[in-house]
Amino acid sequence: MNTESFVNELKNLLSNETKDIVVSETQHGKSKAKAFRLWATIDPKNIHGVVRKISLLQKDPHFSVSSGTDLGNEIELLYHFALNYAKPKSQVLLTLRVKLPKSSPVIDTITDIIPGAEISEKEKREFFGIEFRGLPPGNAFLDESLAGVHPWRKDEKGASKFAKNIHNGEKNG
Amino acid sequence: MKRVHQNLPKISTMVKRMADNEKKVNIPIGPIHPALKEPVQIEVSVSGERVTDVNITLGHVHRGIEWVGTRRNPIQTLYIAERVCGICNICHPMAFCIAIENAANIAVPERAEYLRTIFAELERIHSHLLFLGVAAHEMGFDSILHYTWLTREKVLDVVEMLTGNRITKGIMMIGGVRRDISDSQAEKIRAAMDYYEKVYGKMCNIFLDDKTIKMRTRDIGFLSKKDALRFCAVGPTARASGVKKDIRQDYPYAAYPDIDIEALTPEFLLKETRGDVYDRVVMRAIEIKQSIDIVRECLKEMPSGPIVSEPVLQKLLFNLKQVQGEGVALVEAPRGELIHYIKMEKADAPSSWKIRAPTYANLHVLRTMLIGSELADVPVIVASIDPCMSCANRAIIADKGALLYQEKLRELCIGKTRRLRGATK
Amino acid sequence: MTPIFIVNAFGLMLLAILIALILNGVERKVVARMQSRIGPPILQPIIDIKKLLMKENIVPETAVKWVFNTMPFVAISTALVFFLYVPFAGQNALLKNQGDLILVLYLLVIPPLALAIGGFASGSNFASIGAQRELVLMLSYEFVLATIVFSLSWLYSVTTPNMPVFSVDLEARPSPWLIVGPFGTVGILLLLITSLAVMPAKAGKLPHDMSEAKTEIADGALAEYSGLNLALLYITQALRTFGFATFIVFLFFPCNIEQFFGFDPFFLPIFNFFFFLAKVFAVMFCSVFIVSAVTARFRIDQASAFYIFTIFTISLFGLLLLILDFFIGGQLYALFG
Repeated sequence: MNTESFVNELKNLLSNETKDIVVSETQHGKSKAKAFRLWATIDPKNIHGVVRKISLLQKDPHFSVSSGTDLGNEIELLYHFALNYAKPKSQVLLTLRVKLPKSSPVIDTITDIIPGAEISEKEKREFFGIEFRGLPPGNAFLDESLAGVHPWRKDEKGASKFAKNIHNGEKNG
Repeated sequence: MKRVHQNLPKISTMVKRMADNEKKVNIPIGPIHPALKEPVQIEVSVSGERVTDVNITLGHVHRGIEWVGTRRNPIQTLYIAERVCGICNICHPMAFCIAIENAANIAVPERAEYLRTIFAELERIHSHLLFLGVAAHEMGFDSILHYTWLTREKVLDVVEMLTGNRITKGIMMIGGVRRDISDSQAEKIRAAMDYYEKVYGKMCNIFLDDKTIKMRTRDIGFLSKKDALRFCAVGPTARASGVKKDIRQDYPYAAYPDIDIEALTPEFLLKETRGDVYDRVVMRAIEIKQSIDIVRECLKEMPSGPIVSEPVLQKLLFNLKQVQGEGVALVEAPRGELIHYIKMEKADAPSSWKIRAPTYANLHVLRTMLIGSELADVPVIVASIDPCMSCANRAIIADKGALLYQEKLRELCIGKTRRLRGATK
Repeated sequence: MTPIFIVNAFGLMLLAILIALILNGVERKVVARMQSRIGPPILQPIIDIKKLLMKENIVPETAVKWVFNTMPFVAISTALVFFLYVPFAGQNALLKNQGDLILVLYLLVIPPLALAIGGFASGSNFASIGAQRELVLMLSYEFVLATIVFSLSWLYSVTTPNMPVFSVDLEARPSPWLIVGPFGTVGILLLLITSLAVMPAKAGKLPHDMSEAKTEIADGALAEYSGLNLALLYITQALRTFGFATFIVFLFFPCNIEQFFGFDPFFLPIFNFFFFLAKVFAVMFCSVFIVSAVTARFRIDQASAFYIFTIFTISLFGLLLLILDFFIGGQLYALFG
């Protein structure tokens, strides 16, 4: 399947879920080959279903990582997928965006479809305090003693309170 | 005598301990262990010598780099990105630059794309040579360790000649690169590539023919193609299992679209792809050859023109401050797919930055590889995914009895770089 | 036990330690040059020992303390007593009339055994696994070693009627090469090869250093040792290498230099001493230096199979050739003129 038709098919698939789809192209090299990036915002409730549908279009979708931003009242969570891979100049980078309310940041895990997402989801659980339904317990990064601290949040749960004394810790103490 | 008597019952505990070894013992490999060059805790349960369970804990050296990056301007962060890893210090700043260029819609000059490609491939050669040495060291074959690390010096010298530094090169800039390659320098690179062609031949001899290497790496640490796909393995680890994922081929960036790159599998040199440790070792040797070809091709095809889109840093920073948007970049680092995501909201510092280094993805498959293997094979298997580590040590032969302090060492360093660069100026 | 004997014995032991450590330094230097490295100074092992003696002797809490602390002394004392029974430095052994080859074989076994017991007693998992490997390896190669010794003893028993076959007396022992025909020469050559193959395992060197395996189990049985204990064990390791090389030299090349050249009797001991060192160096060069530079570490199952099947078969073949040489060799040679 060539890249343009794959992008169109992906757009059709996602158009049932959301109206907010952005396709961007970049060009590299002398040959100006195109690289496609798709950005789509979806409802957090549907994440499992959407990933399931994607996995029908591309068997074993390549999950790169999930990243996130603290937007104040919400946490923005992005899932980066590489699809249509293992063929020359064909890959499409799909980013699914979900916004979770900070009061109850809960979302379904996708590790049952893509087991390779486990470390990434655990990281989001520890660093943003997002609860993944169905993700096995246990920390991958932070020490248990840091329970309740979510470093990448920009509110009182974040890491700023630890950062205050970085420079004068050793010298004064 | 009384003391001895008091202690006597303990012998029974000792005997019991010897008997218990038949059952189940937890062996902590890491966070600090001679086999690991980087803190990660792999706790293996063994019954006799066979591994029955594996538990991996990360985060011992989590430095909060992403958090730091959201408190500095993009050019300052670029240098932090370079210090994510001691080896991939072209790939990280390059991915960071591409992500920002993507967010801010900056077009990179063609010559800069080619220069980036050359630097990235030189880095791949040095990283893979380093890996081959480490893999040999894990199986106790130190002669190969010393040979590969000796040959690696040549590419580091070339890098020092081009950038002024061996390890943290400081060559990437948002919108291009900071230094050009002159004709005489290109000539030196070509000579180095001829040298590595010979090294590759010798490497093939060693790794294809040596019996003890095969004894220690064949048919251990299997990763099936199915598991590699399910667990999203990346880079040489995935390719050695027959998955033809390679960002340079699938999603080309920099100058890679102009060069027809094919994702190689061990079948390039071997009859079949088994997905064992041996395949992963040979995979690295094959990719050295591929990198040599890419560097040659880039030197031949390199267009002329500017090397950076905006040479004035103040102007660049001002422009970046106006940017509202997000960018994401995929780069094929020596160990596999590297992804940087960045979000900019008209502020000095980016509001979010996420790095995903290849080892992060490959750790999933480690468990699959380790369970059922022998304890003696654990270090070799762990090393075979090439967990990223930094190494910037080297020896200096000084006059007998002379002690070298920081100033003197710095002077010697600068002198060496001048020598290397002077020869081509 | 005259005072002279005690002085002599102590002098010999000190000399053995010194030679063993310097040979260890030579080994590190030679292997480094083979790997195109610069390598440490030749006296580095002595500097290391000096440093270890200054360090604190730490005993882990989980250890069975008295076993843990005794074993290094057991190891080093048996490794040293070995030199009182085996002709060494071109001179006959001090206790040549009190012991025989069987005793020497046992003396060779005790140091690794003590090391393994110390490893079990230290309570560390790494040490336990290292100790297990040491024992498994020992079970694999001791059989081969016994075959070699008994083959040679059988040879002496049938060719040299009045000789006590297990004697460690240098003068009573003719060179084995001189008392056999062509078949027998090949047989002894095979036995020599097998004994050289046992050498790396006896010395704990590559490719059979899996009981220490730094990158796998963090020095194995040595993992928990420090300070004085570790210094003693280091010396023991060096003595084991040197001792087994001496043993091979005694079994296969017992001749002294006066059998080839005439020398002033006054200087003879000195020449004999250097001739002996040259022989030991040659044995170590073939079996340890080169081998450890060109091999990877075996797994314990591979090492075990290597000794029990490959090397044991070769040694049996060697014995077979010796037997063939003695019983029907003469007729065969007559047949072929």
